[in-house]
Amino acid sequence: MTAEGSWKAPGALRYARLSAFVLVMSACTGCGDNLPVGGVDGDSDAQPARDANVGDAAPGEADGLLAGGEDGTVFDAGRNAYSHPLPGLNTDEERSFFRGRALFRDDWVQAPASTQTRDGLGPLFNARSCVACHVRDGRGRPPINDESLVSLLFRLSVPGAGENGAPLPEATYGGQLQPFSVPGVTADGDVEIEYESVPGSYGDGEEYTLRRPRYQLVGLGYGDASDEVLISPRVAPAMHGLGLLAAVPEATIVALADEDDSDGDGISGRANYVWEQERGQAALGRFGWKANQPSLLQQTAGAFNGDLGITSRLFPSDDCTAAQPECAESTSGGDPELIDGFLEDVALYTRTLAVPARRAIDSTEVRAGQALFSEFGCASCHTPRLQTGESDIDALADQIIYPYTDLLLHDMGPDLADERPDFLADGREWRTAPLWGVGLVEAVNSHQFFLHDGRARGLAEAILWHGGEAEPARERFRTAPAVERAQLIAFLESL
Amino acid sequence: MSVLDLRAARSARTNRFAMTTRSAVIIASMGAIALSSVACGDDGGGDTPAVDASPAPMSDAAPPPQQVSRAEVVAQYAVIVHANYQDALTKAQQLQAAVDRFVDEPSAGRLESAKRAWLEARRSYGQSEAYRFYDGPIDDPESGPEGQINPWPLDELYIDYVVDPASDPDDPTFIESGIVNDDTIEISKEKLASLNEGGEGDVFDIGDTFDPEKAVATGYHAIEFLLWGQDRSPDGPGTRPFEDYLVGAEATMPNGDRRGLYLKTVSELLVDDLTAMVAAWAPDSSDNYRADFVGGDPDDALRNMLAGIGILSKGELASERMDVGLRSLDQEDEHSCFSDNTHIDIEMNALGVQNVYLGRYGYLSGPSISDLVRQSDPELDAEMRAQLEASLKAVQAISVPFDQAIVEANSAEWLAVEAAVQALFVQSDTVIEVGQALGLGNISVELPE
Repeated sequence: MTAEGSWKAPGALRYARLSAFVLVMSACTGCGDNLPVGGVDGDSDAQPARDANVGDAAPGEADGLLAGGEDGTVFDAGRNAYSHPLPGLNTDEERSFFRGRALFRDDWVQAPASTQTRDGLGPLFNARSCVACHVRDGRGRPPINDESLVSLLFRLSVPGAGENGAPLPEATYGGQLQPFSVPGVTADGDVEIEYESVPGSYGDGEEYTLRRPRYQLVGLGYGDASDEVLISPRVAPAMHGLGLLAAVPEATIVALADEDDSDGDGISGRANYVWEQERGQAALGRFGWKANQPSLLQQTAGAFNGDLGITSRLFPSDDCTAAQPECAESTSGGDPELIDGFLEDVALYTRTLAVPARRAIDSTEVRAGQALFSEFGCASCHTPRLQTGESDIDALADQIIYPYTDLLLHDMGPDLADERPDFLADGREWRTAPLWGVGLVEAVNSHQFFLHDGRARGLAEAILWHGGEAEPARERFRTAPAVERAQLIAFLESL
Repeated sequence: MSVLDLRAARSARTNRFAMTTRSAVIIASMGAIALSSVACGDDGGGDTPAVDASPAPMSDAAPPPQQVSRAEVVAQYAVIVHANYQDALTKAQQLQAAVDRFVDEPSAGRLESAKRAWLEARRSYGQSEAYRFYDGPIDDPESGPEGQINPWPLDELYIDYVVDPASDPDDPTFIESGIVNDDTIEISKEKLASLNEGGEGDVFDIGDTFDPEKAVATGYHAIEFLLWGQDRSPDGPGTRPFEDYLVGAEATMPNGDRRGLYLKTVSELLVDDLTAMVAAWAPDSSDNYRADFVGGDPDDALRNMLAGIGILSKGELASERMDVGLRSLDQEDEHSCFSDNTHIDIEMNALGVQNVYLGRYGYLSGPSISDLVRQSDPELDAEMRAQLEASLKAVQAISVPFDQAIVEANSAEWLAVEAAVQALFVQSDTVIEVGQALGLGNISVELPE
């Protein structure tokens, strides 16, 4: 399986358009990077601005500027880069987007409160608002020093599979550790994180030190957890472009899978099939670190339920176990607590955040890094280019996008393994993380913590943790000359 | 008073005179507003600035052409921002004085006075929200007090007792919750500020970490809750008895003394925060925000001014404060749910947007964005002014109380709110055009706060 074939640009028209986009982008630079250009200019007759450069480049190398497609890309490399609506939304969608954003950002309050539609927080919860973890719609991170556990949460289960193939919840604490609670209810507890140093060296002898997290449940409110408890850390993922990933046809994703590695490239890749609550049937999983959510509606309802303690039509009861009677008896904020209209608005919001355009695509270093990305084999799983299919939202339909993911599960080796199965995903498998926008995490979230648990401090460490199917690619990176490693990182920073 | 202030005051007098030529319809609607403002009982204390927070009229005829520079427009903006915050501060000080009188000797009359002072204070603050959304002093990522001044929605039981929903509505029992009823918590400005988690205002806090153990503890709405209590009435505001603030046999609830101290403390905190805003925008200082704002590139300042009113129009006022309520049909999904003052909150926000475009606050007026646009594109200026006028009329047409207007989809009252939302969306798009016409590039009106 290789993506290089599909990585070619579709010809001269493409370049003329691209030139127009570059003009737009440089005009924007003059007005400060916090002022995005709302739409994109598709005028194919625009005067080419960079013919000389284009001539030098192999076709396709400069492609991918419009990471989110022609209708889904915004030009903002600043703090709000992940927070723009798709430029092509119609008025009704835009209204829903802004309602959804208000609900994404506002705190939910404890019941009883005067406001009937915004109460019901908890009784157990991880945060009071969506944005508390998805800060500026961006990426979460592990706590630093004495910070509370917010944008990193811990899924819990015991070995085996539960209802419909889902993980089997831990008997006392349920499916997720919730460190906070409303008055009168005891919180689940906390997690102590320790990092162990893991030394290593690049092929040229340059040394590095990685850090491996160790987790321990502490301050447990309901006694010891099961001896068999499986703990999986998950940082809050960034929100941009999710609707485009949802609009990639299932057939496209399934076609990328190669479960038995029949092409012999060492990369298998398999689809997770999970339970779709609404339809009561199995469905392709696309979202979450283990691709355990089939849709953004369900992802949204699941997060309301697990993280905020807000019930909805998809998840009508709070995550209270038999060992937590006071949790179950706590005042409810309604049945369900989240009205359907709000669920739909927030789900639409999560579907319609635009993708920031690439930067520095003409840099020699970036272009070299882009070639290495394929050469090393990164692109075998981080599929650069996908095409969306039909969608009820026009701006999501038929877009050429550059998400750098195949949305499939891959064995990432023992070092990253959580040993916790999640539907078809085994304890060593993780979904290929999308890389679009990865170069803007620092600008948006002021940190450089990567991977599912935020252990990697920077992109190089994230690559160095890759194992399993990704081990050959990692080794090519590790043993490459420093200048090539820098080129690869420069390419990632341009995404 | 600076030279600029003097000139602004002069031109304001001219404008006031021009008022007499306005159409009868507008005069009539203004009259009603002026009356309601008087009824709110502004007695104009000794240090009240010579500016009134009541809505200034909108001119429907193009003023005579006036050549203004960008720098003059930016300077005038600083004048109105300062005057507006000074007004908000003065009204907050009057609120604090009324609260102190009430807490020192609680009575029904004094509670009413404090409520009136709160309602009056909201008028000027509501207009000042047009100066948000560009990381200015009010919502500076590191020091902006917005999340302490105006956070919402409120976790009522984080602050004080609430009615037990399981009890008989006619004979309710109460859940004695919150900071007021937890005597292990010291009530001081520092402590209450540290217990406040200001919702959206804290998103840009240093380190970007929310503390899930905190909720809203301070600001206008906390004061509102302490004055009115929960709004459990279908057709009126909350009815907290003044006896909640008594101690002893006549007290209706325990901890009247702590409740009083809490109310006094958050009122003082509000005054502190607004004092800082006045200082940030004070004239004749070389090292405050205003000095940088008027001394920098006027185009950057103009972008911020337009972004502020565009974002307030669309994402904040139309969407968060109105459209969500239209969707929820939830009577108390409104900003000032305890006092039923949401219609004024909305109107003052819309007026604040107008103020910025017209370089105006109260009777102060001077070189404006409108003047700038008219110099190059009079039609666009006329369109912008017409839309600002239309949206203000649309929000004024919303029935009172707002909480009744949103409970039934497609009712006449609900449709009036819908019309206002649409008008605000339309005007935010024209704000983008204004930015383009002034050569400022594409102003974003969609960014999060």
